[in-house]
Amino acid sequence: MKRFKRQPEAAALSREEALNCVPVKSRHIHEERMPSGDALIAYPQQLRPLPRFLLRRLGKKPPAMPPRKLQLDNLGTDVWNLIDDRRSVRRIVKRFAEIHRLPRREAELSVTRFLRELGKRGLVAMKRT
Amino acid sequence: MDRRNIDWNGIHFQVPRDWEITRIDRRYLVLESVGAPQMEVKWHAIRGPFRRARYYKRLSDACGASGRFEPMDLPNAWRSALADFTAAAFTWQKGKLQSRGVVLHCRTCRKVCLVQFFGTLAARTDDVARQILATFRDHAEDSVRDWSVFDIRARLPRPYVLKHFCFEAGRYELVWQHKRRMLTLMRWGPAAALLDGRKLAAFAARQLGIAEHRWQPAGGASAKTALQWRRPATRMAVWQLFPAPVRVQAARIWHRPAENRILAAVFKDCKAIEQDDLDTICGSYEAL
Repeated sequence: MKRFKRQPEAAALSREEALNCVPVKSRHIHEERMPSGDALIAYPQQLRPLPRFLLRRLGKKPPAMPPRKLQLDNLGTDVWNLIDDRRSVRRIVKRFAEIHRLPRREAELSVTRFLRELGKRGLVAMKRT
Repeated sequence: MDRRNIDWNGIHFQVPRDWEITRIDRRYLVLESVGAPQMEVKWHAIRGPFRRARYYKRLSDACGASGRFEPMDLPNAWRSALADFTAAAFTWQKGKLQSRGVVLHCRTCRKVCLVQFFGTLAARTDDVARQILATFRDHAEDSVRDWSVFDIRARLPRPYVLKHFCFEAGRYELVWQHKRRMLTLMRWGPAAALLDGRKLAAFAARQLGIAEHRWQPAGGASAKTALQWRRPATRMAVWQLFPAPVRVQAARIWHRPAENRILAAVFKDCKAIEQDDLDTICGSYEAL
């Protein structure tokens, strides 16, 4: 029954620690620019866990999947452009608030929510400093 | 020190400019500065007399076994600032978080407010607390009530009661009601990114559901950046015999390029809205 034992959860980051993290773009993505200047990101698509497991059990290789594409709007593109593998989330929030003249708290909410979405799709990872 | 007003549901006080609201409810506010909680305010109206011991017990119970709650004498620095209230001071500690606060009872409006300041009790913190308490008011003296939170400010007639509010990143919406009239104030930002070269009328049509061609310039100095729609008057007298439904009677939307915001006011009622009412409310609603 050890196999089904629940893995210990990683310690959650505090807000301060999360803001000090540096978002890093995935190396497996391909970035294009639309005529409007918006970013179009192509990222590899993985087979879902269950079919992948079944194929592996049958001794077959998972088929190559076409890449997924994500088109960012102008605000998303601004945040994407600010990710340079060096700037922390806090600095991105500050710059984003300056560009759009937003209150810092509002900018923080929008940027962190957007980064979370990018993280779920595997487009960025967070580096702890 | 640079300060700004907080006006929310009848409560008014001034805080340092770098303090931001992080939690808000109808009768509850938490303010933070640089990620650390600074102040909490909650309030409610009571019917009977104010009993200090009862509030101490309630706070002590809320503190739980792991925390420590102790009544204390009202500090002299706060006493003069709170002359209009019956006040009961306390200290509170739970884990690393500690606070010093006061329960206030106003004899005029019969509200009880709990105000507490978090953090170390250094001289500077104490001075900030004293200054905030000196500006604290729990009811308005005149017939209008100010509303000032985040980066918006409005002044509404006192009978308007807050029904609903929503503060999302990029979009705020507040709804008040007075009799059958519903007033909705909205704010969007950043305007440059949301409009992105499109017309304000197109944005208004998408957000407020009033067709693009129905919007007219609002007139006055802001004619270029303000649009208005009013429901045309009913011509057929026979319809006036039936009770009129509550529906959108007037709306105004305007763009504030300097603040990079779009503001809007929507009036729902069963009868037409006077132009003066529209002008007064929209004139007092602004982005900071």
